[in-house]
Amino acid sequence: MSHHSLACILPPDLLVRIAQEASLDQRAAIAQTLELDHSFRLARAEIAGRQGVRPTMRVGAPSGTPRRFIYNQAHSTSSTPGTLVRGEGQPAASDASINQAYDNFGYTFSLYWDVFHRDSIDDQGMAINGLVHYGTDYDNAFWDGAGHMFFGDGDGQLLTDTTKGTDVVGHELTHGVTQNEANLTYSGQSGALNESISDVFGSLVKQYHLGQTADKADWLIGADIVGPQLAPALRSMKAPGTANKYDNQPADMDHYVNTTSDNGGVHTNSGIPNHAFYVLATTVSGNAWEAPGQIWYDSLGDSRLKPNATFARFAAVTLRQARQRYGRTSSEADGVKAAWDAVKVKVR
Amino acid sequence: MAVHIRYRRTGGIAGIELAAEASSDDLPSDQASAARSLLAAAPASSASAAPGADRFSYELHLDDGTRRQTFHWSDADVPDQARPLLSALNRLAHPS
Repeated sequence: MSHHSLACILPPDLLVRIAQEASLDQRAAIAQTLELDHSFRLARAEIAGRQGVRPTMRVGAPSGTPRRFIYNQAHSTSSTPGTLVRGEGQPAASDASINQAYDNFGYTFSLYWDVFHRDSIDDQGMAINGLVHYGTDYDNAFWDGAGHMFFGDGDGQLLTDTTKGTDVVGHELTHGVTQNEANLTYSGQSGALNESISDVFGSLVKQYHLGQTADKADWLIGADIVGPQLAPALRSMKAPGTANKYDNQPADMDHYVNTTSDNGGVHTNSGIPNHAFYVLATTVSGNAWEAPGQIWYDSLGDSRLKPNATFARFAAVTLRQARQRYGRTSSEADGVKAAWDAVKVKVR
Repeated sequence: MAVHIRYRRTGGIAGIELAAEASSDDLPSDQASAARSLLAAAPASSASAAPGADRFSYELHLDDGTRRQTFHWSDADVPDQARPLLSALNRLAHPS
């Protein structure tokens, strides 16, 4: 098991760098190491999450400092990281996309660390890698499931430079958090929940960074990265279905969209739990990252939340978490009940 | 012979579906020949579920009157020779 010991010493991002200059055989070995390392980290995070206690062993002491690495893909569509253009603590580059990705990684790390005491995506200080200028006119940003966020520049019509979106970066990195916690299957209701959790925490990253209370936030997703065709935003948690002329998100279960497209409408039906969170946050009032965010965060790490969870199952877990932390008759627990009632998800 | 092309891109963080319908005659010659060679290729295998989230999925139907092929790809498994063709189709496509 020499791969494991190697994995403990070398950070995965360094292995990726080595792999770029390695022979084919070496690459295969390193790829296997990265895979093993990744499954090891996943297993460790899963155990930690499920038991609700911090593991006694970790790579280093939690530091409250992110480990950010920004690579320039220079319009390549290769999924291998390109040139390292900014590492943790290095001064700003001349390219705005590099600095925006770096800063937004920092704001996302801060929400998770300051508010939820989570040390990066895996709660083990995992490195956060950003690959900017991916492809040509590429209208997307995505999470690869293995520590890398890819950023397109947009075509200027649908989307613009995706590094600009604080909520978009929070959204993508939260896919990594979800993967390490409930690991919600990316299809149907569990997929829409996965998407919604990314919108919720993406919005919280932005609100926390701007110091906005729930009544001051715009509750839009992607307002800073849309082009004229999708203006003013990708999605609205306040009023699902109204963010742009193509937005067909439902705001309640009566309007749930049955489709085979987009893994069963994961970016469509996420409007339902998104709106539930908005109702909770505006009912409780104040900073949405406090009680509302805490309840959602606790629920994501609750062992009763299974990968194939439905909206109703998630709702039940949030109510239980709210009652446990704030009390059975607390305004927070009442707010959770009212939020799910508002979107017509039955909660017991 | 002209290849009739139907194209759809779904997923992505925006969740916007793009669709296009075109003839290979409407495409630059490199992309038109890419479409012809895909049609002549071995039968397409269906896409595996790629890890991660917010990736695009692509669906490409090719038909020249005698042969027909349908490809399903995630962003992670688009063959390199097909990427310029998909880019050209993106430019022709509209949100649906």
